[in-house]
Amino acid sequence: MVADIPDQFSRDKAATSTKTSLQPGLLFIDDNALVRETVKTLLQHEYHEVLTADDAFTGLCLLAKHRPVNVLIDAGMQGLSGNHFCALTKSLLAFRSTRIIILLQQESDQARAKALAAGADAILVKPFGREELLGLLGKAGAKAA
Amino acid sequence: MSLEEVARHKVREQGQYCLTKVEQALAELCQAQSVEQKQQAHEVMQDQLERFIHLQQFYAEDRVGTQTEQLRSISSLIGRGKPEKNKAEYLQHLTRFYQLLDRVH
Repeated sequence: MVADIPDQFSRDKAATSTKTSLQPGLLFIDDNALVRETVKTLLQHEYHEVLTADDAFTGLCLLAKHRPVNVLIDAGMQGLSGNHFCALTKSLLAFRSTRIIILLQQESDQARAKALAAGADAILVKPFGREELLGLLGKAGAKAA
Repeated sequence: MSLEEVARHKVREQGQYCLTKVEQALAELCQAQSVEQKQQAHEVMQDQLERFIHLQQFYAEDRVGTQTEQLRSISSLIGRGKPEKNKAEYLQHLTRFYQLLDRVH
């Protein structure tokens, strides 16, 4: 089944700052609006640009358009899951170096193994705090560097 | 099918769905009575076309081809079109647009 598409995908997303000393872009994909807003608030002082999307298809469009360095994506979304998004992105040369962190709803060996098999650079289990998230983003970056 | 193949299939489906939305918006644009309605329909058409072009990068073998670039530019011409002034030219753009849509579908 094909998921419906928000018509205003290109308008809701970008929160661009003119600060130059920050890290380059980050894309956060989660179907929970509250989580999106919370993470955006947590990270807006760390990144030059924080983009958000409420589904993985829109996430792919933003990835193609803005080429963010890091992607944070929820594993369990309808339509295209975080694991699907990751496997597809890592299969393409143009996007292979994008760092992808997959967010899990619950800790489980099976979920962790699936995310790693999809090519995730790191995994984070909800709920998480700012320091944990920033630490992991740093580690994911170090791994990819 | 591997996870990657399933993902590619899903994205292709979504891309085709975007083209269907483009066609619907184009039909609305052609039937629109007011300038506002035309602008609104064209905005939807452009949004969905951009989505299609972005998504296509993730599944099309030849990536974004010249046909989709042509679609983008003809869509822009249609949006600026004034059929009252030059109906023949407008119809020419529409015909070309439908031809290209048919090819990329």
